[in-house]
Amino acid sequence: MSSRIDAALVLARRALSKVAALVAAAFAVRVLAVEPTYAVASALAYLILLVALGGWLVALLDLIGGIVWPVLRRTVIAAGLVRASYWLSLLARASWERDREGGKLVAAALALLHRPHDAALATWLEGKIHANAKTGLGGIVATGLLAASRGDSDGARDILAGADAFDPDFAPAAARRAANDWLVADAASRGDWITVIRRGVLPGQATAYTRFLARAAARIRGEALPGEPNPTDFGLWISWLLAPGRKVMRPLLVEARAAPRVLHQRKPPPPQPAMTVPLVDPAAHADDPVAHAQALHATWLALRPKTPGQAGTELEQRLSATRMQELCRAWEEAWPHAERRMRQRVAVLTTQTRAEEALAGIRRAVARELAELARAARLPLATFEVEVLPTAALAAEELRAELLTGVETGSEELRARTAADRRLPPAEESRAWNQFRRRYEEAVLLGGMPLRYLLFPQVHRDVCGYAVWLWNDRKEYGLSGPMFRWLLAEAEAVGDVEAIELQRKNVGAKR
Amino acid sequence: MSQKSDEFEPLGDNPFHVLGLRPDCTRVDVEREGQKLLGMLGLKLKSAATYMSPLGPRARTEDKVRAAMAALRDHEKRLGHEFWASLPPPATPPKPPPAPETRGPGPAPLAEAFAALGWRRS
Repeated sequence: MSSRIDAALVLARRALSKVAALVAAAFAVRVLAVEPTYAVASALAYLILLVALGGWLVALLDLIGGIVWPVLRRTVIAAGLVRASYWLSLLARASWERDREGGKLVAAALALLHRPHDAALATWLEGKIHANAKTGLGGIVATGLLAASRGDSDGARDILAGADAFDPDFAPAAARRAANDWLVADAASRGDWITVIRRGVLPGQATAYTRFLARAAARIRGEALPGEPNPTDFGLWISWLLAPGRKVMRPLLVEARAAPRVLHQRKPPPPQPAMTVPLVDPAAHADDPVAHAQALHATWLALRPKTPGQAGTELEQRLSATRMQELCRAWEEAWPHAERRMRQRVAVLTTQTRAEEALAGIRRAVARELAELARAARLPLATFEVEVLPTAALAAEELRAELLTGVETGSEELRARTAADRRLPPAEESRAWNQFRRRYEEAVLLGGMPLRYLLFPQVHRDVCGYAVWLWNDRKEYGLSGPMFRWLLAEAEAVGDVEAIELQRKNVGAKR
Repeated sequence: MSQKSDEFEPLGDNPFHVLGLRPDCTRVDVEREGQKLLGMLGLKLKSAATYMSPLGPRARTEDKVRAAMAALRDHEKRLGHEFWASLPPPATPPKPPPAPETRGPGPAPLAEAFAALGWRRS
């Protein structure tokens, strides 16, 4: 049986080659048989026909352009064919109009997530990302998805969240949606439903998948979604029907439909956090001011977040301005006793260090830790009673210096890179800028207007130079546009007329 | 701001707490206790693997014990550590924190969130 099929295939191949040879021969005979002028004209006519056909194909792709990308996502990309996805995404012209190269990268990165991690393919894709000199949003999203594929969830979260800061005029919706899909899936898998509700219905970024998750979570939590009411049973069912992965998400649908629908937003009382019991009770050391201050200090230190930048920690919820003042006062009361004790010990141990010197070092260490606590609890500098308590003044000074140094170093770094034309790989550029912006915004939040006035001139000079470099030399309009808008907002906040005028011009500039 | 594990913490890594001693101890006590702990750690005894500090239980290593002994031999350094050791560590380990709620104010974490999109979990 198989031999017959093979024979038939061979015959078919021969027949095909014969037909091709006949067509070629007919074309050659026709071209050679006629006069040279007609031959040239015929060749030109074929060429024009080919160009016209190509044009029609491109026009057709543009016409149905919106469909190509979703079709690719459900077929080639979903099959995990990384290289095929990379090349076939060229057909999705309409979805990646301003970032064609980015479209190829995102398609390949998404395909990589659809299959077991392949280090060789990941390296190949990384090479493609690095070869792409322009940092379009596609490159950034592909880098984030690649980090996710390698198991670096924290890095992926950081990079993909940077997509929000990209200029929407230069950010293909497909890239923003891919980033948002991953961020919502990540939040849902961690049980961070507030993020799911917030991101799930973001205009321009939401997909059927994120919408269903956000609506189901909102219904179960009894909350309204941003810009839409709590979903009905029918609405939930339709959302589920439109979403991918229906089988996996069915239990969530059942749970959501069982939850009562909240028609009016009622703010439920915040759940009482489980309080950590202090290891050492400060009240037990009320008779010893030094031990009392240390016990209070230890109570708050024990509540510090375990991972950097962790938000909403118990420390943030419990360490209020009043508590911080209480801690500073406890230290203030402890110092005279500590000095007396220190003098006695200096005499017994016969040290060369004088009691005052030793105590000064300890005061500085306490101030550093108080500043660290205030920063972790997001307590503004103004909450320190600097006029009354020297310890508070020292801590405020430490915190202020720490915030100032952080922003100044970051700003200097941007300036140095601009001056040296030192370019970062795609995604790293966006990440570096977002990190600097967060650092500045933290300094402004904690330091208030005095720090904002102090920092703005240098930040304006360096960031403006950096944004102009990105705009003029690197044509990174998607990154630099939001920077100009951010600078304008800052200039308006500090009332810098000259900077306002300059940034209005920059914001108005069009490619 | 985070807890820096590689940085010395006057309350958490205090040499007196590492050696399980009080500030009024003598140099002989330091040597004896240090050698005893080094021996126990060498034998990998569980009872020597941790120590209590005012910030909670910490891991005790041979390096930490040697560093603590060296710090307490130097009177200049001992002076500062004595100050921080004024606060005795809790005698008993803290009660375990309350068990996390299996259900918060919302659905349980959706482990298959990535699978719904056909993606691998990162």
